[in-house]
Amino acid sequence: METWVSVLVGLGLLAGLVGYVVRPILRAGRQPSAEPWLPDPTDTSTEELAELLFQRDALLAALHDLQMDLQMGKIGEEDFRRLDALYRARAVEVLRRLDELQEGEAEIAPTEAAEQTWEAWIERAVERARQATSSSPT
Amino acid sequence: MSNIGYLSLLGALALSVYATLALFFGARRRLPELIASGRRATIGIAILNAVAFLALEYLLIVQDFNVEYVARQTSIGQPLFYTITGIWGGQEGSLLFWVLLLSLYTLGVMWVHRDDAPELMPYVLSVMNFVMVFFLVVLNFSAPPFRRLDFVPVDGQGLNPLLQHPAMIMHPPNLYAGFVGFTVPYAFAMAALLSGRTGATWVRLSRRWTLIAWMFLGLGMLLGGWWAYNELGWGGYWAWDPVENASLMPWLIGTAFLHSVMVQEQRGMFKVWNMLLIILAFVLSIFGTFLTRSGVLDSIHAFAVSSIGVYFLVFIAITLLGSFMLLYDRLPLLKSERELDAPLSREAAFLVNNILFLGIWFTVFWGTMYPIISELVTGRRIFVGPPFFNMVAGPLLLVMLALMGIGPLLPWRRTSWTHAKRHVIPPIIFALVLMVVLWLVGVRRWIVVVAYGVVGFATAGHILEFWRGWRAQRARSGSHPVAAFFELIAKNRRRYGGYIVHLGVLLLTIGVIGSKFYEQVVDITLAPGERTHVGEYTVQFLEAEGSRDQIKERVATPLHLWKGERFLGTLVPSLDYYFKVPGGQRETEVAVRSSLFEDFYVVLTGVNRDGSATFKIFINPLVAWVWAGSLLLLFGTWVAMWPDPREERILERLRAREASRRSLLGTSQA
Amino acid sequence: MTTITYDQPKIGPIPKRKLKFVIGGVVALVSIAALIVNGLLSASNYYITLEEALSQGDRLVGKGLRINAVVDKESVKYDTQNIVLTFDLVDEAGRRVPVVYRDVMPDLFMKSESVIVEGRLNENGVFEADLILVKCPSKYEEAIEPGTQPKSNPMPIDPSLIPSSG
Repeated sequence: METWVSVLVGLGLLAGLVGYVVRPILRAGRQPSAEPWLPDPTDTSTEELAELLFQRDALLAALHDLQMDLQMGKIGEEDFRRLDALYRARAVEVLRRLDELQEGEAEIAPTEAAEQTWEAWIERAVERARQATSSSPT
Repeated sequence: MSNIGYLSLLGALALSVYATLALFFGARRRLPELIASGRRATIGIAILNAVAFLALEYLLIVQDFNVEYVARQTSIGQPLFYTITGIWGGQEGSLLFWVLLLSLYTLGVMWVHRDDAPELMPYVLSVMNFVMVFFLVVLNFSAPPFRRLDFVPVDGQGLNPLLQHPAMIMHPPNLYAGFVGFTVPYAFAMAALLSGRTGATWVRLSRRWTLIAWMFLGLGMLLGGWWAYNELGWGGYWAWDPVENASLMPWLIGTAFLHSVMVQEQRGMFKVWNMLLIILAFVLSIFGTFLTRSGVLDSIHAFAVSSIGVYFLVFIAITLLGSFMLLYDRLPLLKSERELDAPLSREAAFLVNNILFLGIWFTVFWGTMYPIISELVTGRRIFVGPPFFNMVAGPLLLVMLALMGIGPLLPWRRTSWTHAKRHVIPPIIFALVLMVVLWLVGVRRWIVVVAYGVVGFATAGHILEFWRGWRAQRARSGSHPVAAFFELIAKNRRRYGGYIVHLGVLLLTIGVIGSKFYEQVVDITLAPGERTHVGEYTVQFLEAEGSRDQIKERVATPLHLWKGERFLGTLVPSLDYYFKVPGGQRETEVAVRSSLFEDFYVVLTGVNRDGSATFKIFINPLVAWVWAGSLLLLFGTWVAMWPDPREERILERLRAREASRRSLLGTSQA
Repeated sequence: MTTITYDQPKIGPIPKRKLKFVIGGVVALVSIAALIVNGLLSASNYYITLEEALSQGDRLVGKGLRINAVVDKESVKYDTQNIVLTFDLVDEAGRRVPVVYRDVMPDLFMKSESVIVEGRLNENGVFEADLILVKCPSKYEEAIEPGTQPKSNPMPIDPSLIPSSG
């Protein structure tokens, strides 16, 4: 290939990419903004939601593991009851805060209809415990 | 073509600087347009890197020997496959391959997490682009792949025939994919610190990327060992060579990280520790490239000559300093949520595990760097060979295996001796019985007996764990026994995937111990037609046959092989002489007959004037177990990596929420 | 930033466990350090120059040594029947140290200018090598010269076995 052709092709490629890259900035002033990408800086609710959901997940996993550990004989009844109550109390707290956070918001992803699953069972158990605590004044 | 490649690399460098800054300030100042532009620049870098890579590939295929790199990596008559893959055979090309991989990882992260964690992702991409800047600086200024010679050679040197082996071709890409891959969890960790979002999100999002990098690194080491065994003809697969150590070090720290990050997920502890580990794992992957590419291991003086080493050293220093300063600044965000409760708990086991992994890493590090350190301190180069590594890392690995047998038996938080005992005693009994049996069948080296005892203990522990889990699962779900087994794994992918990895490690260890302590070597010379016995085997040498093609001469010496009365087949060890390589080069082609319990491994050392041939024969026990264990390890990683539906559901929910907020924002602005 | 804190529920009195962990950690670190130091003491090898090998031969007998030097190609003898490789290492001043290596000649041996030999000096001043390291091709970048031609066949093989064209 002739040198100048290849240089031209290379420069053309670069110019095209520069145009592609700066385009969002050139459109910056326009309304409506084409890039509504960041939430309000003061709004940390999604982060909080993420934290709570992950915590709930970790706690459910812990409860599940605890059941397994009991069934497999790794811990005694007494340890089990104490830890189980502890994790449940925490799960209740997390669920309560999730409720607060989602007030007025529809449940976006409905839990799967896998009612027989272990997770669902634990979730229901925690739910019951939660209703029991919230109905009785603390 | 070389002009296009040259311009692409220069453009990619400019764009990567821009992308790093745009994404960083876009996130800091909350300028969505700037972030969008930075994301586009990231795509642009990938395009330019791909163009540069393809340009070099094109030059290799058309064999434009005027380009120095092409003249070095290919020659007339070299198979096209090795010409195409020769691109990562040398320094410049492998660095180019490296930036291409980094681009692919960056695009992958950007795409997979396009709707995740909008506060975190710009920083992640910014950090990845920062790493990109470094490699592009090296490529543009220190190791330019498109440099032309001032003459046109008649023919190129070609890829060294020793490296022309399928495993050796796949070995570097896997190692690089592993090395580069550690950039991703590192970038997530730094992004968490930069954005202040140090919660669970970054850990969850980066976990699978860490596993991917870890898996590729392991696969790279496996292929390297496989190549050494089948190609180099010294009967082994691991030599504690600095290049091997360079890939082992980030792998060890990565393993420690994978374990201790579970404690952070489950218990909210070890947060600072995990940050330190991931910084170390990343720096070690850069350091690995530095070790293998800078020549520092040959001599400090060689290091001063090659400028690429200085670039790497500066980058490592900047990375370490920057990461630690940032970490120090954000320490208040990383307070442990809980304290360690009891020494008899899974988290305590993980802590010991971490200490051991760090100890093994430090041993490897110190042994590898000792010549350099001693030369700096005393002016005399002192080095340590494989005995040092075996002596120091061996016992640590044994303790680690013992711990691996105990850890899974312990629950989180705490347990009591009475319950722990019930789980630990059966494997101990099994181990003791195994040791006695080994002794009775004639294994008299106490170290081997102990080592197999430990392996037996851990294996029994894991199998019991599977069995107990399976029983519990059956009781709970009432499924068919076979179905229950798969349910158990499917419902606890991470846990049982991890156990499968452990079993792989145990198989591998069985192979390593056997082949290390019971290798037999004999040298024999056979006249044509002569037969001899080697252990239980009988070999008969037929006759040497010579042949010649475009690039090499070959002498092959077929051998018939029997075990007892059973004919096993014909082995053809041979010697090649590559006359095209400057100065000529000899290459031994090993012949191996592999079976479950031992490998019959023959190296032809020479053919004599009288037509007789001399062979070096290795009988290597249990080598097949090394490969089998490695494959099981990879399979387990794959199981553990499989997406967890519950986690997916959470991420889905968060994405949906973001999307609804975004559309809300869009309508309010309109 | 949201951190969720819990009131730690009381699960019985917590004794001073921290000390236990600290002691355990220190013991672990000290034993690892001891292993490393012990390994260094018993498995250290020294890089020496040819000059040192000749002048301080007596002092070095029996120690693990490593020499990086040029092979005198003229002196290479390879007995393929008994698998013994002998050669001389030379330096610029013309000093020579004979080396014996009782193993298979490494593939790149004839090709590489300098080699690293690992082993011990015996009383007769002969270096008994356990290991020969030739530079690995992946790290080995050669200068490209126009029109390089292969030299004579250094194969330990009778040349009459090779057909001259194929």
